[in-house]
Amino acid sequence: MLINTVILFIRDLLPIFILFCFFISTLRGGDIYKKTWLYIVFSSVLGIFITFYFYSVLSDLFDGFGIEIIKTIALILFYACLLFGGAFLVNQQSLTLLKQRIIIAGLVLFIIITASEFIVFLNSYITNTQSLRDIAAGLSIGLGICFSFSALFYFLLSWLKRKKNFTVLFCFLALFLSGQISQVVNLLQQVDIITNSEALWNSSNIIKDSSEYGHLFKTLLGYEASPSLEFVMFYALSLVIFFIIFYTNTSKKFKFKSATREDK
Amino acid sequence: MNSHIRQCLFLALSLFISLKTQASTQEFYLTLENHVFTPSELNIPANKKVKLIILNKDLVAEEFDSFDLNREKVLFPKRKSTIFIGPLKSGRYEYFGEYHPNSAIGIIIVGADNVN
Repeated sequence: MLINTVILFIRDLLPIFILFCFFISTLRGGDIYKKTWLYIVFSSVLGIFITFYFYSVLSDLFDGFGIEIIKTIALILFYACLLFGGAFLVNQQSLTLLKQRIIIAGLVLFIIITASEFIVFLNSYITNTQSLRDIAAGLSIGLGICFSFSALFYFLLSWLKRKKNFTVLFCFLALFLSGQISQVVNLLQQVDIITNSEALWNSSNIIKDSSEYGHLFKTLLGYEASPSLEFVMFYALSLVIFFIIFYTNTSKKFKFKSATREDK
Repeated sequence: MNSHIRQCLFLALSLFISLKTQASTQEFYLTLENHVFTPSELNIPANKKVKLIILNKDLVAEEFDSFDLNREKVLFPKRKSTIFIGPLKSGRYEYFGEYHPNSAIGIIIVGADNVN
């Protein structure tokens, strides 16, 4: 059960920690105030508990496919928010109030989608586990792994930012977000909205989906040992869109800087 | 006006999903009781899409999870949940309950002769 708790922490909570690492490491000082952080925490906690409370009701919507449909819509919205805001963050441009709000909305949405599933597990775990010590041990190990991994990841991202290696930084963000949004394909195949085709390859002999590395790579890059054609196409399309947005944004910033220098 | 549009969209989406799922897909059933899936081995036909209906008789939620099938679904207590699987090649596809992986385990056996 302890290993299971650790795996669920990596699967459900580590993505939130990673997203926060991206957010904090790329954020310029003074762009977001303490009050905004409180707003993020409050709205996320409220959203998680409301979702948890109505989870079974949501599940019954759309002929029993409610969770899949709602999660798909939420993931697409989250992707759109971060697609819009990600390039501004990575390029170190100042954030207007609208940009801030869009990024925060994406962040809160993602926290609610991911953490509410974890709360369902936690509820089931607490109901079944007699010993408080087991619960405490599971939570401590899981949180410890998430904190230590995200601390290392944060230092890596901060180092990239200091070296002004924004392309690599953006690659990490693009891979992470493409991995998250591509889950939409599995969700829609599960409810028969997208046709399910055979797996293109099977890399289980290298990294199994069920292994700790499999879970970690799934969180970081959306790794699937046996992805379908639809999954790969969606993933590739997401990466292409990301890079188009990033380079358009970067060239705009470059042109603006050049024009400002010429004016001076 | 906005609420009318929202209602129409909701109805259209529901209708679309209902029509799509009403097609003649073969149904198979699994039951979860005391954190154990029954039958533990389920035979389904090869190269055909099937509908898997899972009834969770327990008092707590469980998550149906299968890496082989690329499927994940929270099974709420005392409720039926549905997922579509396949078309699959012949073989053995493992699944388990994410919250009780030691007891809630099973195999879906896909074979050309498995026409229930």
